[in-house]
Amino acid sequence: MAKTRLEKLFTQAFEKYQDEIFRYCYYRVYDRELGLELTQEVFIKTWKVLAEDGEDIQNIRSYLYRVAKHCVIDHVRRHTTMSLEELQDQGFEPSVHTDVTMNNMVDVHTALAQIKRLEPMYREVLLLRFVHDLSPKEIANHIHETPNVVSVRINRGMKMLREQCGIL
Amino acid sequence: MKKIFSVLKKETITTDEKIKLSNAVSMAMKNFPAKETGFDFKQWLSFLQPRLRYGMAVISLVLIFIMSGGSALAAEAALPGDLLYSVKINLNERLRGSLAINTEAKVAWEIEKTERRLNEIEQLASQSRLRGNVVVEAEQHYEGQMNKVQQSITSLEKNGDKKKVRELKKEFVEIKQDHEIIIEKITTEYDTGDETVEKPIQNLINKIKIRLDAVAAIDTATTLNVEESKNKKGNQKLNDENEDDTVDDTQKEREDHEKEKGNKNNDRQGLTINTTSEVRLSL
Repeated sequence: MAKTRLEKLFTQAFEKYQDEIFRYCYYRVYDRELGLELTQEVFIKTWKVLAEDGEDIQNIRSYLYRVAKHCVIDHVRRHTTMSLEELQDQGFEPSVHTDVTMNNMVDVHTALAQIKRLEPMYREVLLLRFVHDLSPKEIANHIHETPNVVSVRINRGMKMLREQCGIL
Repeated sequence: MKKIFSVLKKETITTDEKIKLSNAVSMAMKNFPAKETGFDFKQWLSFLQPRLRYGMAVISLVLIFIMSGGSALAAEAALPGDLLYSVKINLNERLRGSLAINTEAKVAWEIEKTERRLNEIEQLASQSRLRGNVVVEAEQHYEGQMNKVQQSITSLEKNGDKKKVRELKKEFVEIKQDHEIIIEKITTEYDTGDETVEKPIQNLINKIKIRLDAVAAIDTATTLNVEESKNKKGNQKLNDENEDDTVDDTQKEREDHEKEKGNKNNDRQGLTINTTSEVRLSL
């Protein structure tokens, strides 16, 4: 059976954005498996909206990010915050990397550990800006702030991250 | 610093994970099939890129502009009874009329429109189209136009520059003289013997003549003659009185009088009986 227009549109979006959405979820729940589950949830929810309502989604990328954000929030609300022990069980050793130089940082866990030490509001904008390549304006829409606030947070976040990594 | 983000950016779903994820999503798609039934133009448009939509808007605007401009040009040659005639009357002529800045220019345009109406009737006659409803429509437009001309000339006479009014009237009389001969010919050309055809045309021709005469009733030439004669009379009286005064008045008074006379002669055209009486009072 031939694919409908919506199916084509959704399949293309799935192929194109699955990695981006996965990273978004993973770097917010700090669990790869959970990140995958949430990614799956994001795409299924988006498909249901498209299929049931035939909703007019003008920018599917930003729509997927919006759904991902809500999925992560729902997950955090459902589960208590992960303890440091649990994180360490999964391979996280944030304290080890506080004074390491950038050249030694090679894997995702260590990079993520550095990011995780930032305050959530700075962490969020830095990830969106430098990992997901969203513009300050897009980030502003995503977090419901002004582009000016976003730019300030990016600068402050970068300063904090440099201090953390011993680059001043 | 960039390394942190480049490492995080490189993280992707593995092939196995992709297959799992894809299967799960495909299952969901099968379980919840799209309700879409056919091609929805509105939805299709909404998915188009904003730039494309902007481009389409520009193209449509250009098309509308070209089409309306073309029809406006075509309408210029339209005659009563034609489809585009209303475009000529309501769009082209109104637009041109709105470009007339002052009252004199507006009156001049009204006079030009009168000539246009007369030309239309003549063209219809030459094309043997002056029949039935066309005669009625032509008559209506002509009557309406003559009313406008009459009103505008009257109001300009009251408020405007009299010299300009004279020029405009002269122009109107010239148009009247040019067209009277052609209009007269129409009556003879339509001598078909059929009363139903001839009678409305005869009525139209009569109305044209009556209205042309009515507007041109105050002929420019006579207006000028009357005013000039008035001026002459006023000057004559003034001279006569001056002669009488030389006997009684002192030398100083005479000098003052001559000054007044000189001023009045400079303004020849504006000199009326009223101004003469004012001179008299001052003396």
